[in-house]
Amino acid sequence: MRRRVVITGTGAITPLGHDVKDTVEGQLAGRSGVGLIRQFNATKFPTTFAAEVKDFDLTKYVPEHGPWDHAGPNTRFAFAAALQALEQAGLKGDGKCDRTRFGVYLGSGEGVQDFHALLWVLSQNYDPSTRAINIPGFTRGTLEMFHAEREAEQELHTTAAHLARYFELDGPNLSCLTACAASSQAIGEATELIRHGDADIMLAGGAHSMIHPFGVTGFNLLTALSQRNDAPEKASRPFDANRDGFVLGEGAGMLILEELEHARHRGANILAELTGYGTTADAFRVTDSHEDGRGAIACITGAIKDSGLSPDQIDYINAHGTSTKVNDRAETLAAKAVFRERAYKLPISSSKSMLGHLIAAGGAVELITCIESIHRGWIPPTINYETPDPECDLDYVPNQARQHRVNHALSNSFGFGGQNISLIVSRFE
Amino acid sequence: MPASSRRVVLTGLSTLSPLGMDPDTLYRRLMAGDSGVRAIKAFDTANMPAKIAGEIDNFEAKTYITDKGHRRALKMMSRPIQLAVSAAQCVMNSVDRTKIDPTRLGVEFGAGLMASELPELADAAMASANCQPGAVSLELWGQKGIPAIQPLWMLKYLPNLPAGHISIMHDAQGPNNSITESDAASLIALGEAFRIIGRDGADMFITGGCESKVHPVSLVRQCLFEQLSKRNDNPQDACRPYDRDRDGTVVGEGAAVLLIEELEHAKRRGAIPLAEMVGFGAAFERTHSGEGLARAIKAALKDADAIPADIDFVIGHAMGLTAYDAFEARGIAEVFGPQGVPVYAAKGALGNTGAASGAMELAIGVLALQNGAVPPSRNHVATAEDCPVNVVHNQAKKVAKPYFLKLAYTQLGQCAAAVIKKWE
Amino acid sequence: MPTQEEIFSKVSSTLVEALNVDEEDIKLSSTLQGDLGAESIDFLDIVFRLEREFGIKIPRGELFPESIFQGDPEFVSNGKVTEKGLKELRERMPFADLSSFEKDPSMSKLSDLFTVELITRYIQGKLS
Repeated sequence: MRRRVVITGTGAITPLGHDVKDTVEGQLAGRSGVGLIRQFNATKFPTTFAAEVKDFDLTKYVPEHGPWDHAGPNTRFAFAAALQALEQAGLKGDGKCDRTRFGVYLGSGEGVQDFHALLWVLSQNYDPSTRAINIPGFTRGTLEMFHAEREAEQELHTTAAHLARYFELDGPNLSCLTACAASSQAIGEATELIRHGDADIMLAGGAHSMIHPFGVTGFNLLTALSQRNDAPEKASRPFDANRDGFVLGEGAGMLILEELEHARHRGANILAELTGYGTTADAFRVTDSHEDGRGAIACITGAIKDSGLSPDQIDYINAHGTSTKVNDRAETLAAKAVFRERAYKLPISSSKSMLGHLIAAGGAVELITCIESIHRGWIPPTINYETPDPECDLDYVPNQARQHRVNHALSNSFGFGGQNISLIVSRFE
Repeated sequence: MPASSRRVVLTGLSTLSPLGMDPDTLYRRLMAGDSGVRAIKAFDTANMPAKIAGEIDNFEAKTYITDKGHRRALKMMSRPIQLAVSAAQCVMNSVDRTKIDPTRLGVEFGAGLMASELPELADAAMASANCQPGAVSLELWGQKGIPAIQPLWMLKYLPNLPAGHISIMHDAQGPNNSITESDAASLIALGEAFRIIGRDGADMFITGGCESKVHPVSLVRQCLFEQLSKRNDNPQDACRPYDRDRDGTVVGEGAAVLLIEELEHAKRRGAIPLAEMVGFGAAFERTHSGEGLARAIKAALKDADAIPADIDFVIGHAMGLTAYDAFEARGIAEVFGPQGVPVYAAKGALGNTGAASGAMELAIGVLALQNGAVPPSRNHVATAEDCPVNVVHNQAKKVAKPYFLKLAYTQLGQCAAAVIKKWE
Repeated sequence: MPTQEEIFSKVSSTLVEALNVDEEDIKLSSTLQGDLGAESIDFLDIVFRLEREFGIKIPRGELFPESIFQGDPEFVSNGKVTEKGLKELRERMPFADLSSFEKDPSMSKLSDLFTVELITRYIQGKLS
């Protein structure tokens, strides 16, 4: 018998709220978290809007000073979401369990580069007529202007390490970055670490913000972002015929994954069971999905097989649903291939229509949304669904939350670069 | 703990390193005591506190990537990604693809931050530079800066794209992950791949890591927050792991790829195992007493069903850092006893190849097992008093026992260890 | 005003760099996707390089209209572009030679419109 893994805590910081409750109730109300970008002047960018976390203050959660004083949004959001999850699970503070058996696995993004210093120094050391860059001048300038601690905090492993240090988590400590699939992959592999016996408890999830000048620039250059600047809250419209790209979001989602007997032994409140994990690669192209959706199909099939369920038992799909032409079409194809005729009756919705795309953190928040759908008997809608796309013809729970009993929910995450992850959470009885 | 009945063997190695572009050259030069560290040639280091690196000469990805379609993708890869796909190609050239099920072939790679090439941003920076010192105008950036950047710019630097491109080039449709645990990344990636094969989630993995910090921005950042050796005048002797006179590490660059697969899978396709991977462990070190590192080592030994006395040698993380070498030595000593096991340090000769270092240095261990000799650790002359380890130095050490252990850590506390067994 | 040959030669060298193809593989009739192996993100790169090479501005969607017909069933029916769709194409891409596409307006053939010749004619129009 393989070790079973349950979820005993969740936490979230999202554009719809600073906890799981607000994040989920905002979605059930069909609220959009999207608006004009506030944290920097994006008025002349091709895309001027995003789904930002509003009025976040880390000191409400972590009053102490530490290396995280210089940390960027990834670590700051992660701290707050992790604290919520640990408190809900009753695991904050030493002595509650063997901390050496308690690890961390995050899908966490790159930190925020010092945009102004880098570009200003570069401009002062560039001769456009010869296209020559004065490297000694550039390095002298950046050595003076870069802030050492903030530079160190950009490294990708810092968030997981800070959480481990602050919350006293001495077990395996890992970080991955598989673009938009990262936190789902972290949750899947953390589950496997517990199943295998490498740990008994894992804090798993993700934290990310790419709502900064370089982030918006990069995605704008790839024409991946919606440019519906006249109606930001209408911009994220997964599966709608007039979708024109995704909307950047930011935030964190954290889960406490725990071996079933361990959770029972300490009398923990079990929120759900993580029953299925599937992971594949498209191995096709960097930004295009395979036309017949082979990677996504194999991934969903793999997760269902791992869960021991039959496809008929899946009650709800929280889609990757990015609102890009290519993704939504491929995901629809994959759902049809796996669920056949039943695909048309199976509710599928996209949290990204309201939260935007939290990139590395997206999967974790969406999995938490699935857990809440089991508890509440309500599934969130896909908002901004107005014009059906002939190529996307399934039940996307348009615009209104729906009362629906969910025992088993599937969450998909598909990354830029071809990484596919599917997770299944099940009612625990 | 359920012991996996699926055994995992290493069947391919490639290393693109400052000491040569294939494993045999690397091993031969390490045995000869050569150094790959020198004054940086890639850019002008005037004004830099650190001017030396383990640098690769004349690397041209096109010499490795000969398929026309795949070559097309090189334009959207930064140097570390080009190193990664080239190293993967070296390994896969000798694999008969007709015997591989693409859905059972995965990729696990270690990668870190990659810095933008400066010419790609220069016009945009110029177009946005304002009268205001120290900042650019975001309005001008939006109007004139963004359109002056190549559209595929961001793709060149995404840490998940070494694994992404490798999966595309080699039709690897199995699990695909990118581990971003800094200097421990590729060892942890290997560990995860090992677990996935063990649980029957795949039969074969292209695993490894890539890094290049030989870049003005990367090196500036390292100068700000890393202890780098000040021995710019004497590059070859600069990085001195566990040595009394150590004064910091040296940046490096490279890529290493390890092909691992389930034993029966290897047999079926007629591949000859180079070594067997038998154990992996990971832990977090909160206090830098060495306790967490020791736990990772013990977990790997337990996983391997081995005891400390079985281990012939340890390949240390061995950065040449004042505080961390001592911490690492304490961790090793906690498991093996003071001076209890021969320890080899590769970074004295190679510099720190960062996210590639775990896989690269593990490859050296495999070569040592195969050739029966551990190279001398370059630049280790006199063991520091605060480093209770027995460092292989001056001359090569004969291999007598069938196992070695490779460990890696990050300075923030992530620790990992892998146990490799000689194939007989 | 450069000659058509001069434009072709500059377009070719742009494509050699963008798609890593050999110069001799590039003919006026070569299709970017089918013959030269371009994928969707390559079109972005090609546009950027053409802008630099010729010193022109190519508004998004003008040279390579992405998904012209998405969302409008009047433009596409049963996998074929309708009369109305063809009219839209003529308006959006006046520089394109639609004669052979009009004989078999299958959506699957749409990508064959994007040829080296199409780029050359587009640039010629821009420069004149």
